[in-house]
Amino acid sequence: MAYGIEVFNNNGSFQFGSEAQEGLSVIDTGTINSAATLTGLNTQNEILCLRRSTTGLVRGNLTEGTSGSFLNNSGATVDYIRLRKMTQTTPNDTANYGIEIYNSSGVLTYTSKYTRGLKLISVANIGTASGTTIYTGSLTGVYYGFGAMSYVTGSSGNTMGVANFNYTSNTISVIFERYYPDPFGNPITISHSSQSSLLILARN
Amino acid sequence: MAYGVEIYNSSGELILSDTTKTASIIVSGVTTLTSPTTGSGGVYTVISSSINFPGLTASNTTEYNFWTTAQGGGGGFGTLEALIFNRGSGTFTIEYRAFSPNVTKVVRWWGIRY
Repeated sequence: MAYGIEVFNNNGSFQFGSEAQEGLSVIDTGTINSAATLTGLNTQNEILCLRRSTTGLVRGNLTEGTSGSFLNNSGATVDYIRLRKMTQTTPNDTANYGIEIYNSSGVLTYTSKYTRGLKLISVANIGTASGTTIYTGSLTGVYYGFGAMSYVTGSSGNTMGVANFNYTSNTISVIFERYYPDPFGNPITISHSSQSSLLILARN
Repeated sequence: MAYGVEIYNSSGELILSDTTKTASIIVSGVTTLTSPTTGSGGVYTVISSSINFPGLTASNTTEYNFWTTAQGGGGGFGTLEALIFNRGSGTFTIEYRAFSPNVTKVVRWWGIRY
């Protein structure tokens, strides 16, 4: 970097810098009941993050786009937070102090003027294999941000899945599978790896 | 703390600690790819033009990576299609492998540093 600022934490991990196009902020939190649909998502500017307070699968169908939605097919209520690009939302803390970082184009890349921050715990890289445990530890307040997710019931009664997340008492593991009916209507399962990074995060 | 930045909001709540890392978006965009009419071995591959991603290298996967909500098979054996981010030095391409011609894939992608 020729000029600007970069800040790394005590562990050497990136915190923020002026090279970035922009950061992420929490814009909404809530719950999605079983079989209910969260609407109004803009997947072009947002990341939907989920968690559940009980053990079991988190699965559903994310519809992409500027009028996106998420159908909760987990069989249980899930909690969610929505992260949005900072340029697409206004900071909600009106205090006239704190820190703001702008890049060389004058775009705000980091601001402390949101009422709650976001802590990135870990990242599972592209290519994470199905069955991998991507987080171990307390699940209190821990969300994950997934890439694509699809779990719907097909017309034949079979199901097609892309990403499920299995919550145990202290782990989150990923299941990347697709189900296709064979000529007799029986499902054929094909495992694959992730094509997007997966974020494990919590609110401060 | 030894070094780094701690930030508190006006309520005194810690919103950025010296052990916190964050996800910053370096580049983002929407790329539309359509599989070609001619394939090889039953696979129809299309690769985007080169896209800038400052700081990206072929190997720094623990700090620079990609986020997408587009569905693909991940490139593994036996999958019906694949969506692959080909890493370069400061640039990348997006590769889409379909099993049919003229299949259009809209890829919303973010290049993230964390």
